[in-house]
Amino acid sequence: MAASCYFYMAFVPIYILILGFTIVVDYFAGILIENAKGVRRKFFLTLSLFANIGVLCAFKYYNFLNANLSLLLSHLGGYSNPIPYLAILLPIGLSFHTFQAMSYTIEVYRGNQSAERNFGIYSLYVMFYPQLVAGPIERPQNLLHQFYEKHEFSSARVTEGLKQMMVGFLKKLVIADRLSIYVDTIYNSSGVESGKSLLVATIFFAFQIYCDFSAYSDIAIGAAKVMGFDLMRNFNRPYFSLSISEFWRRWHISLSTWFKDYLYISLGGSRVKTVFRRYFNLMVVFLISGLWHGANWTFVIWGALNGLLLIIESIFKMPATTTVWWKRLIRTIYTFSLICLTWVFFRANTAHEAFSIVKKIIQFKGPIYLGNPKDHFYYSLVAIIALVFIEYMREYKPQSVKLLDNKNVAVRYSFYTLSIIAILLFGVLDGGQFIYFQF
Amino acid sequence: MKELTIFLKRIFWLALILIVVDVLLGQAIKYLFNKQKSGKYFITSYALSKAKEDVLIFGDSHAAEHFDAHLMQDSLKTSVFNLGVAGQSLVFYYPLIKSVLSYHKPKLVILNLDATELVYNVADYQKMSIFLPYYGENKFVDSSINLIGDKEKFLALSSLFRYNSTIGYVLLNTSAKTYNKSYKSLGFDPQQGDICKNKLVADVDSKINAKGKVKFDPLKLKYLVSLIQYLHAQNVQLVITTTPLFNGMEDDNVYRLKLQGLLKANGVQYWDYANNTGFKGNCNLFSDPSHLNKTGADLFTNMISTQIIKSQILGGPLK
Repeated sequence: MAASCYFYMAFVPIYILILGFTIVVDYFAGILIENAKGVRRKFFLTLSLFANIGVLCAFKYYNFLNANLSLLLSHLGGYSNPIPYLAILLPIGLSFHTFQAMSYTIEVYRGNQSAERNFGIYSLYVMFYPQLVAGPIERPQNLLHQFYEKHEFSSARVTEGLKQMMVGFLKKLVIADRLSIYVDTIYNSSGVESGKSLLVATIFFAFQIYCDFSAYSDIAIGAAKVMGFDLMRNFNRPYFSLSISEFWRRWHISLSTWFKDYLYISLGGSRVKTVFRRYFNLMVVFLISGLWHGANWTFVIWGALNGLLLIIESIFKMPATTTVWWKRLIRTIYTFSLICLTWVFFRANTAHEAFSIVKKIIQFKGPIYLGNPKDHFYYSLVAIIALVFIEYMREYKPQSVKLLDNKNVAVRYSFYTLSIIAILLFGVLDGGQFIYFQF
Repeated sequence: MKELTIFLKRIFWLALILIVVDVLLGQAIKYLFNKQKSGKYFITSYALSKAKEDVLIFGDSHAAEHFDAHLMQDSLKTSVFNLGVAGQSLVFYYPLIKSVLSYHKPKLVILNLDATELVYNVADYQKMSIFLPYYGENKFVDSSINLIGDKEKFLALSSLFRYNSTIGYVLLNTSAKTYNKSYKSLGFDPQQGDICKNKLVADVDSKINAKGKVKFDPLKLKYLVSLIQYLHAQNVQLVITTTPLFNGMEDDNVYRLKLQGLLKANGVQYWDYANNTGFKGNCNLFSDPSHLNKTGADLFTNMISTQIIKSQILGGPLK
């Protein structure tokens, strides 16, 4: 608990008060919901959700909404907006711990989780430091009981945790931060870059964001495992998906299941009267998911695109899977390409810039910028090839190549040594931040 | 307890293996590193231990790409080497020049500075990572590595970390066929092409806009004054130059004025070609708005050589 407080306060110390506020509100809300009957249960749940969403909106969306209000007023007749902008720094992990807290009160309301009476334990559930800032977004049924269990030292468990953390650091330092050098160079000057360079940068970004985010999850899950806690899996080799719907079952699993369980199903899910209502529900979920990622229209468009692609898949009734290898290959490449298209909007600074980038990519003109010096580009290529190979083997031939889990101690130690050598020789060690910290 | 002991033993053995591999592999990479025949590390290595020429040129890409050392050598009838390294700043030139002077005394040091050299830029300090492969070789290098950040001096203890992100570059520069930035070119890095067709590139402004918050780098100011005084004390002639810019440079740029004032106050010859009419606006001479192509570089080199001869800074008329 002290470690979690210290960890959170290392960023902006005063923001611990915001976290404290939501913890206190939800702690008492849980108990009140459990003790109440009938419409009062809904009342206390609504209060809790309002408090959480209110904090989220105040810190994350206030200036965005205000900016759009200014735009609207000026279009309506040149009126000026009297509401001031606020110089607010987004509290780290706000989107994540808010959703985790909301998950608790909703599960108590649904009767799936009993209210936690120990304030310290409940606080730890919200601010457990390995997953506080960027998930996985845990469910109370999975995490709360673990704080009551005794966690004795287990060499096997600690080793597994450390191995997972090492994989996380490899992905983050050697792949994600390396790719970001090229991606940032191209995307920050997208107006003068060629379509081919922008295409390469977009593909690089697809791997950058995957490695960056899954690396954080690996480090979080590994760190928790070392201490004896099991967190949920958050990524399952998403770029091997055969469809957009499968992609969303493999990417940021904790968030997509959160939206499915608490928003999509609450709207009626797939059990609605008309197919149009189902598509409406899907679109609402993905628009809100886009907005969750950031206060910018680019994220809303990104969410909308994903929703639209899912609707199109549903309309054309694409088969869920196939055993024919060349069909799998085509569908994998096709799904990856569509996801890359959506990543343009996720990465671009403005919607206008994103559309310009897409247009240039489609025109496919100009030379590919290889960087100066070129070796960063080649490191990035080798890193992607290595990653794709390893993930392919884990997806389709999991038994044939075992490095971390090999029974031979020499093989395992060789892999540990090679991994650390790779971090020392190829890692970008100047403290690049995790992408999802900004959410 | 027994399980913890076994675990700690495994960690110990792994750490030991890592240390041994770090040292051995580090030595192997060092051997390869020293086999480079071109590139920024070749130039830096040459400067740190092998420079013996009478005229040494320091600076960033504006030095490396604009001073044709062979041409200068022919004009001045003395040995010349271009030790310019792209992307660097005074934070780099200072330890480099001090290192050279610790074993060799040239007749003339030409230090090319951008007119806006004295601006504070955090990236200049991150670029001190260029010195990591030389960690432990001299005090100037080691103190520069400490400028990168708090953890660098600890990470640099790893032989492998010193070669972080260099392997690809090293392999690309071990070939004896490369001319640019090699001994063959005496360090010169000529550029090709011009900006006459690409109007978008020609319009890109290469000036640092001094209209916003002015931020001088106190360490660069200190380094520049210290270098001037040290070179004077060693009786080494010093000339500061600024090479031509396609768009020129505003006369009232606050960083430029500061540089001019400082050099004047310390009695240093400053040859400022930033607005030279022979270059400004002439797209045939530039490969980009702030870098001359080979044609422009040769023209500039001849101008500098003529100015050196006229000023008799190398000690009387050349024979």
